[in-house]
Amino acid sequence: MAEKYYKQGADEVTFLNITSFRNSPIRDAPMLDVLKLAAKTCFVPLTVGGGIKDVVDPDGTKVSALEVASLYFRAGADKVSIGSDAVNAAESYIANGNAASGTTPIETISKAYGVQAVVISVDPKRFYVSDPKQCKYNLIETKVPGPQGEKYCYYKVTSQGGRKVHDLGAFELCQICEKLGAGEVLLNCIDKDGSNSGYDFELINQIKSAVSIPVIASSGAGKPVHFEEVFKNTKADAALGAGMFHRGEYTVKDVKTYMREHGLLVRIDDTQL
Amino acid sequence: MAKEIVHIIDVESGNLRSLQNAIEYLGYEVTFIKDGSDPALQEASKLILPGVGNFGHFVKQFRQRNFVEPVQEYIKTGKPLFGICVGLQTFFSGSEESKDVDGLGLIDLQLSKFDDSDKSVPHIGWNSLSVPKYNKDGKTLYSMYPDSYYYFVHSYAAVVSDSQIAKIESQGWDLAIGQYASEKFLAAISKDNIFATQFHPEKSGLAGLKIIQSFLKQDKVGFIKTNSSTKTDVKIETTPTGLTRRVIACLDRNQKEETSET
Repeated sequence: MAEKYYKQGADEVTFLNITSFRNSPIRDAPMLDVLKLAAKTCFVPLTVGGGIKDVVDPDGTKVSALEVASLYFRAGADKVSIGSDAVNAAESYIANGNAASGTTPIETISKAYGVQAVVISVDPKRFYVSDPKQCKYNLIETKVPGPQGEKYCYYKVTSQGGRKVHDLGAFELCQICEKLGAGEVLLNCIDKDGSNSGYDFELINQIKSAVSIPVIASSGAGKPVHFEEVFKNTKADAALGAGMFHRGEYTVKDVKTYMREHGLLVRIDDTQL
Repeated sequence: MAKEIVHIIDVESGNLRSLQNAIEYLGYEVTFIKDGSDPALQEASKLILPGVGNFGHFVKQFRQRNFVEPVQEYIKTGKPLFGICVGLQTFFSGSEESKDVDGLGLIDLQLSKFDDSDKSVPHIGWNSLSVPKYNKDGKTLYSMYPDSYYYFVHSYAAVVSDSQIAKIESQGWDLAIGQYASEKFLAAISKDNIFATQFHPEKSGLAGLKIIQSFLKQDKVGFIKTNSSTKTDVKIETTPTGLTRRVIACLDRNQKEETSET
């Protein structure tokens, strides 16, 4: 699969949630084999997400998030994507009186491998407010008013696929994680996920204004025009597609050809050595 | 016929598997050298110095593992050496990233951090370059083509002014110039048997593999071959940073389960 995407012209391939570690020691995790195989034929950056945290093997051995990440890097990953642990890190940063502990996976992994190796994966969910003064989070004025005609909204951070909503804004989370050593933001959107209706531009622009690290737009891509729109309406550094490629509705090449026909600068690789 | 061996210096500061995969893909064998005292270094006929991560950490490791003298000796023999990313940076006199650590000083210039007031830092993504000295005659160095894009990932670079470019060129260096938003930097450097890139050719698709192949075959100067699939009648934008619009394909197991159920 990864090789197929590489050959179609993907600028990067991201693996998410391929493995859970519940039943096997981390060193035998199937993800490592998937990566090793992919890295042999995919000559673009590879990112792995899901399970980058302190784990305990079935025999009781503790494996730190840094060690888990090291296994991935050695198997051929260029970056790891940290999701729920980014929320934990930001929450403890705030609980600590806005001070870094030095022990979170974002900090330990970026210190050892550089900030460019650490992507945070954020799952924001939109909340509406009518009175901007009554909100402690960074707000935006929205063009898509809420059910009661609210003109303002903010995004709260969620985990567990949107099921758990945290008392933390996505804007604030990204700023904290950048301070801790994140090098890139993979920006999902719970309201758009799986909708195939296009990206949430307001969210992307808000997060771009929060951080100076690159932001990858995710959630909502269903057809090539969505990629054109996201780059023309936001300052996103990259855009990610999953289901539309997985279901075979479009290839990466279809998307890039479309983007180029609409004047966007995309990489078209050589066709042979 | 036995495969030719390519030696790679490994100070164990990061992932070299991708580079190894790329070289093996091109039909060579890889041997890693982890200490300058390793006799394999004397036997090496093609040597690569890849680097990832922090400049200071990398150069300290390089020194502690006794690489400085043997690599300088290697350079004197005239055999080819290829530095990648922090490997390139090691050839400069130092870096703002770690002021207390000296590089090899082949080029007298301090690396500095990109200015993040007009762009994202780190510089991550696909950018282009030019080799002014050769491009004007339709030629280029080591298959670095002006219409190709190469994968960069770094915060520090040899940021240069036009006068610095002229000065370094006058010292015999051939330079590939990259541009990230308003800043010019050295995307690649070459002099005699030394070649180095700031970008990662092993992560730059077929365009990148071509560069590694040209180094391994020592095809130094050649004509630019235009990639016909990049021709278009549409007016293509100029992005503010020079980077292309990145398209990422994601494999998500949760997605897989979703579709297999329906």
